[in-house]
Amino acid sequence: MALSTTTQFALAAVVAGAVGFLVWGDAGEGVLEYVYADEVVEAPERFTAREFQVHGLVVEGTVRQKKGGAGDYTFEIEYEGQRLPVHYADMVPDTFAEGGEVVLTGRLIDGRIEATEMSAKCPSKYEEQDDPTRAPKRT
Amino acid sequence: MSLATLGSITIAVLFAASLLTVAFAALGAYRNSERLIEASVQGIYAIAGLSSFASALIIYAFVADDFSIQYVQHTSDSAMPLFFKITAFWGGLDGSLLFWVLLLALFSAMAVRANRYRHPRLIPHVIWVLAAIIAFFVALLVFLKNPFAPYLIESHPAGRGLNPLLQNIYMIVHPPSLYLGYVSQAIPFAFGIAALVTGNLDEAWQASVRRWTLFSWCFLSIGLVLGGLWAYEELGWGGYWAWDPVENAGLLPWFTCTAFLHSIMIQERRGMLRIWNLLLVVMSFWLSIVGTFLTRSGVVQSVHAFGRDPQLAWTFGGFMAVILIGGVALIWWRRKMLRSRNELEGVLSREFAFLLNNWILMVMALFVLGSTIYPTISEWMGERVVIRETHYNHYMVPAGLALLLLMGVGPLLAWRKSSTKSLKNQFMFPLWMGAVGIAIPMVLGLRNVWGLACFGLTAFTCATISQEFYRGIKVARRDGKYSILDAAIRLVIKARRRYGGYIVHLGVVLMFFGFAGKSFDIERKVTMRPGDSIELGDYEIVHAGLRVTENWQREMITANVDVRLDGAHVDTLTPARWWYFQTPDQPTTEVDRHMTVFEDVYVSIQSVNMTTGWTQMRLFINPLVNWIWLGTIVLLIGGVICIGTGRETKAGASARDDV
Repeated sequence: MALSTTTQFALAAVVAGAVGFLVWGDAGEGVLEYVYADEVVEAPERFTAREFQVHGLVVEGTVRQKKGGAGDYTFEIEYEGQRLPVHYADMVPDTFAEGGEVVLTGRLIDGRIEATEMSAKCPSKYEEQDDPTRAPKRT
Repeated sequence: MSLATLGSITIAVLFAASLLTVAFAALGAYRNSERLIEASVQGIYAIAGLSSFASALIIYAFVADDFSIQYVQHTSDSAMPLFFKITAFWGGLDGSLLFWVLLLALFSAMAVRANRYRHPRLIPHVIWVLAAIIAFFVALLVFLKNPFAPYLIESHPAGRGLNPLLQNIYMIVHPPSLYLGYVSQAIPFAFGIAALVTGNLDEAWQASVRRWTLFSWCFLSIGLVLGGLWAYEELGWGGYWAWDPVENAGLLPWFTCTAFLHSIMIQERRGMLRIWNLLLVVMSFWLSIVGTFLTRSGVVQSVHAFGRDPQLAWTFGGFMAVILIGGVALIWWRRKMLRSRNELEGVLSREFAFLLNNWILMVMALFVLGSTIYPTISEWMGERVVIRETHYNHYMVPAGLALLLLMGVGPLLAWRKSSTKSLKNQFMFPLWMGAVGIAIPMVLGLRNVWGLACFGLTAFTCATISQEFYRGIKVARRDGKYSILDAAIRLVIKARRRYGGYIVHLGVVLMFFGFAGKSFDIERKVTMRPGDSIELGDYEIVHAGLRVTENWQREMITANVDVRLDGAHVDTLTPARWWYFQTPDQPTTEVDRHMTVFEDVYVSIQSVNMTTGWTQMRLFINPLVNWIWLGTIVLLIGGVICIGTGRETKAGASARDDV
């Protein structure tokens, strides 16, 4: 059975269509928007009822923890002068520190981020920047 | 003369030598001058010598704690054990580029030496391509990332130390084996380009290339699995693969290499897919460079990224464009010489199964590439996004299972076309086994469709392979002279590529069996104080206390965690958090696990409060996970058998068939 040219083209079209769908089609919940704290403060309506990641610096003096528990933290993060309150129910990672960078995954509920995941930035880089105190750069 | 100066001079000389070699080889090929070609061969050897010398110098600088060299100061400190000092050579950006050059130079010398007289027309072209690639990387060292760059002031700070996450045995082996995989892709690429330029497009050169690709494929496999094992043991999130951009980068050429190793058989047997195979050779090398680029330029955010460097990114971008456009243009130019000699005769043929396998692998490669660079492209367009594991798993799990199915079906189909009778004969046993493979986990309570499919296909493919061995051994024992083991060994030696291939498949099947275990996993994130206990599946996990210790390098908080089963103590695990004095803000997670053939009880400490004793732990039961590592060993044994060393027997050569 020799495949006719039409069949070959039809097969190629099916494959191309499938790849296109996979790569550029509906990415679904696997893709999250990544924003900086000030963007959320400036346009909160953009972030209601969906999960996203937010990046900012933990504001010194704002970290509170419910007494007796292991987790349940509230604090504020800031970026370019804009502050955003956060609630994190879990225990924070060791790398979490006031003034440090965090990336939170969560939702915006009543003006506060209800975070479900937290990564305190830095340990991932093989080579740190020369100035460890540098503020996160928006690129 | 200081070490730094000597090193910088060596690199400069290396650069000049590679440019000269390019010139000698290209001119030698153009003028057909034996003297110039011979000079270029010597040039390749000189490059290998010089890069070995430069590498020896940087290793010496590490061992001698020469912190006047910036790179040494950045990635080492005098307290580090000797072993880690030596391996810090590839622990950072500059050194890893030199390591790339070293490997490529050595491979080039080996390939040129082996093929100098075997493919005399191709050799000068192979040499100029290889020397040009080397020259590109050496140029990066000379102009952008000199690993010998010294501090210009007299007093320099003490060493900063290698990232603690990298002070781990897997990390010593994982990067070099991925590098070996990446770099060795350059050899098939150089041969492919040489064949295209000279128009010597017969199949002879591809025999040498197939071995190199197999070599590269083996090392990519080792590198990928070790990366997974490292993540599993070092990062403490209980998994081994999270579609990190740089892990993906290692996977990309692996996909195209796997595709090539299958489709080359169709070309050898049927003279088909000739353009496609050359395209795969070009793509594999291109994706290796993409992989190196993703790791080195920091364009994509990842655990591995070495930090942003736009200049390096643009330089690499240009190089990648030249490889891809140049390679594809050459194939287009020679398209008439590359016409297929045969046509596909039927859908129920091994060729068609291979073709499907190739398409799926290519789709997987394109999907992973697209998804890996998606955040970067999206950022250029003004929106920043992150891609999570679920996005990849959603598409890659079905694609992987389709491959597993083809792996089972392929060997059951005949070349050209299969008759209905032979199909029935071939499929009966594997189909039954597949059904059993689905039924058992169903009885055990599994309802996840993908999990069931994976178990079923694992059993089906395993049955196919066993059937092939059984039949082969039966024929070999016809006259009753050999024992079963003897017959099996003879069978493998006689048709190394075929049965080696089956052993590789068996390894992959075992790995999939391990992946399928994921559908039974249990995960809990708990916060406990000493004395607390908790249920985890059938086990009871008891927090038996914390202790703080320290040595010359780090402070350690270790938890004693008792693992009990049916009230009986089975193990005491000691997960820990380590704070290195050099990098106190980067504590590392030291996982501990209770390993059995069936499952791992896996415990990692996420954080610890020494005043209150609250310890946050992640607890996992990972069923069948150890089959992944076992499968890798089997896969590598198969790979080595396929590469082979000696000559195949005459009978074997005639009986040679491929998987």
